[in-house]
Amino acid sequence: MKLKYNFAIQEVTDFWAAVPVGKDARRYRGVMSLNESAKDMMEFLREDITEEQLVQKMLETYEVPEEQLRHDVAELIQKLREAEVLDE
Amino acid sequence: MFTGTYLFANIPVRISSIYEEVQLMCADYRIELEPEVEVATTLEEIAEEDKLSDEQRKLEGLPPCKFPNSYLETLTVYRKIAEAFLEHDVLLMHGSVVAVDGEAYMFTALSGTGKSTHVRLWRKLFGERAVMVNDDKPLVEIGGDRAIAYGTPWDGKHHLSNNIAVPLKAIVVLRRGLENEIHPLTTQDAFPTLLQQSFRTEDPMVTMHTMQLLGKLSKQVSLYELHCNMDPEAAMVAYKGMNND
Repeated sequence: MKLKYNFAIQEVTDFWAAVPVGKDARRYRGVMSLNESAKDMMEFLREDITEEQLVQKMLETYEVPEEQLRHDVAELIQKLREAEVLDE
Repeated sequence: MFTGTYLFANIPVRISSIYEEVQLMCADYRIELEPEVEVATTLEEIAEEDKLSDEQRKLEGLPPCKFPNSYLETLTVYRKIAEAFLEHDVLLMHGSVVAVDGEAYMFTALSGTGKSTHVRLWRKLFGERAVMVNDDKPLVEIGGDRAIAYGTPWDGKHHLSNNIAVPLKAIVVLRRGLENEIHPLTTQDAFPTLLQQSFRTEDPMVTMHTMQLLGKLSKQVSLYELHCNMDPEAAMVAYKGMNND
């Protein structure tokens, strides 16, 4: 799976915001707000990656229990599916 | 070709235009200074503006409308100024800004929500204490310690603006409601509306800079959500809700 659009991701205050840019800015007008780990997952999702690979990548970056990470990854993927911004 | 230099948000801008309309519209802002920003337009850009204006009207559910080139050029010029001003940490926002007792309040929302209507209630309530900064597309300087709202001649269909600079106290996201009610908003909750009502281009770097500026802006002002109807009471509820300390 990978992101359907090219997102610009920027730290705003205590959160990050992602919004499509380039030609995609006209195709999708939504704005997503993300916490730090969700922001990192979005970065990995710019390239085609499986859910399992994404969990492994995140495990390399974050020292949190695997259980917790799997939950966070699944949650973000669900959010991206609902926003219809994921190509699977 | 028409040219003139004008001071917007404390930045001297030379405008070179094909039509005279934009020069006449900016007359109150004319100065004799060396420009820091120069903008010029082409017929191709004006044709592109026509397409953008149609797209925008479509999004807002309005019928297409053929505007004269001289008017479209005023939009192209402002777009170019807005892009150049981002580098100076000055952001073009879509909203109605009114100042009361020397502090400015910005009301922002999708077109047609009733920003101008609500601000008209403020002018009725406060009389001469209320001064319009800009009813449609103000500039906001975010580079300093306090955000400053500036009047510009791109001031909406009722042409309500003054060539003034006022510290921006609050930004209010307006929603129509049956009752009048105001409450604080977190930056995260206000952000989608703020971004949608701020100038940006499709360029990733420009978009990121706009988002960064909005983050800074949200630390300089208070953010609120106002549900309101068109009763005069709405203005008092809003004002009291933002001045209860």
